[in-house]
Amino acid sequence: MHDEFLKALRRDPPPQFARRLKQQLQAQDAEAKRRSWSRRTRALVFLIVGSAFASGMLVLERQSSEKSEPAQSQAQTQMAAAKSDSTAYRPRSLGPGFVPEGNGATPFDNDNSHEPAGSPANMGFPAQPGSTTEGPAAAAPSTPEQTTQGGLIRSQPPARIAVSPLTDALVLSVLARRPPGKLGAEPRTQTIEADAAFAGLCAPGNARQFDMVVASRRIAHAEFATCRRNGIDRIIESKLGYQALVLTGGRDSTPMKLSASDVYLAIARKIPDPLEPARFIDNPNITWDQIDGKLEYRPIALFGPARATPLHRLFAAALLERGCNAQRSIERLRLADPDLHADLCHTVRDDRLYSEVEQTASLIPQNLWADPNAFVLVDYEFYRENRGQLSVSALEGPEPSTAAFADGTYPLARPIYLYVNLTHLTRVVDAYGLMRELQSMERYARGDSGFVRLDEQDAQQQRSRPTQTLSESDLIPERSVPR
Amino acid sequence: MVSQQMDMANAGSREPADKVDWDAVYADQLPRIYNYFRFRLGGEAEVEDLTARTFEKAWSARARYRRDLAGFSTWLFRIAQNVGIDYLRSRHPHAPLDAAVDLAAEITPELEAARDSDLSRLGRLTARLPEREQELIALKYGAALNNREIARLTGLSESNVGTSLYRIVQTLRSQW
Repeated sequence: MHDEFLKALRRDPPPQFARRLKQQLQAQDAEAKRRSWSRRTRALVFLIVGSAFASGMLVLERQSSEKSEPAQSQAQTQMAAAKSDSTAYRPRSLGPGFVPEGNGATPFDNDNSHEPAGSPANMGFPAQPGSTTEGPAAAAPSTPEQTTQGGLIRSQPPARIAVSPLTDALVLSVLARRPPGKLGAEPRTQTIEADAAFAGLCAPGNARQFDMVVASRRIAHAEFATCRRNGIDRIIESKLGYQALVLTGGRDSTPMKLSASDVYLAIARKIPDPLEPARFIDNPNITWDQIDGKLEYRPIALFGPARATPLHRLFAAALLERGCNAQRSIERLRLADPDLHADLCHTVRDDRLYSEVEQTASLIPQNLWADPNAFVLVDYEFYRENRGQLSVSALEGPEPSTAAFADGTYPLARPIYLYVNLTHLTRVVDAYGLMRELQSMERYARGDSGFVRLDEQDAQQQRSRPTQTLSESDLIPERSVPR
Repeated sequence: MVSQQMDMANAGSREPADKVDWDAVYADQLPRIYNYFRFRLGGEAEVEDLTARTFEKAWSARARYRRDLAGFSTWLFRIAQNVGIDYLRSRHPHAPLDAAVDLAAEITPELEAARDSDLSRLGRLTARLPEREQELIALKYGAALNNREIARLTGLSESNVGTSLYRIVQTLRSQW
């Protein structure tokens, strides 16, 4: 058996099948065109009927106003007289020598601009890109309470930010390092899964759940379609960076390539019994060749990030869960028994084969020097900075790099995206400033959070369009491939 | 004979999307997808059904395909993979390729019979391999993709694909 033999097993599809399929596809096109025309026709009919109805209403309105004209004309005369009195004390409408009568105290005395009372210029806000005058603050009628600048600002609520479990520590570190005293209203964060966060960002009607979302995945095509259906189609998307881990070993250790499944079977506390996969047993593996006969005989030893750190969460989500779901008997539990599934996937063994180590440039090399067989999980920036002390990535697949993070081929990395509901930008306190600070996450992120900045080209692209809104065509390749 | 043309989408990737020659793409990709399913899943009737389902999905979504983000064959094969996964999930028990040849009897020349017999035997051997290795065989020898294209679809590195395929063929040869 060789390549040519295997290739010779191919066969052309039967010609009648090829023809039939092509006809089906053409028929699908014709059907789509027919539907499109039908939709257009309906829209046209609707437009014509709507116009006719509007015209009819206009005629009726005019007829009724003609009937009541005599009664109104007297009232209008009175109103015009009153108006001429009230505008008389506007200095800018009169000559410089004008002196107001009486004490001159009028509702307009403080109004030195031509802006309407509720406009951003009168609120003390800087002109913000993307801000609109359609927001309730701009459109709201001027009331005595709102005409005072401070009163209006105080009436705006603080921003609500939904953060996914992987990114919450990063967002909190950004918020903690914000300059203090920003209008006195701190944003509120809520840690929530991305699916629920996107649903909250695009809640229908006037329900305001979240103004911003920081997620470790991109919004899906279907989720964005839901937003649009709910009337929210102006969403700013910014890619902030990545979170990435590297599985590596000491500089002088023998290189080895492991799959996520190998790592899971090495360090999970309980694994499926190889003889009876539906049963879960305490992990008996102590050397790598017990997991897979193709791996070399080498004692299992892995240093990982401490629990309750962002890096541990990334490790659990990107490596343990992936390896865990590769075991069919566990994958089946994902829907049947989510708690057991999570327990089996995320609980690591507590014997000496897996141990936690602080991510410092002195401790990790020391541990690897003491145990040359050990592997270690470090964040990507640490790996880059200490490359001379470490071996290549021990995980199957491409070497870690921002290019591999960007195209999604490196499994231990997650992107970080920020989504902002543009309509809310003018409705919550300092939303624009907050958005800009989150967009500059690289300046605030802590070193041990696993944060990786975008490469220069991507960063430049993001900087050049901080308020560009998302469109449906931006979301094509990954999530919108029909399933 | 199966078409050995280069990836049409890659060949024309500098042109705007609306200028894709869909007839050429169809002619080039149909045998690849068809043979991918023959190697991967089995069952002649199912192969046609899954091929048709893949093309229907791709055809209806073709306006959303973006050439600057993925080569056409990568995009199409990702759809095919998803169609295949959905099918495998719904099918019990798993019996790749075994039934394929029985149903292929409508084409009756002796050469076809011998070839199908080989395919049937190959199917029984690959059924013992892990899912990922079955996928690699189907992509390489069924769909005639090169190692770079396979790497893009499977998330493995190009060299890893080459090494794995070499190892798989050695294993199959030893069991043949």
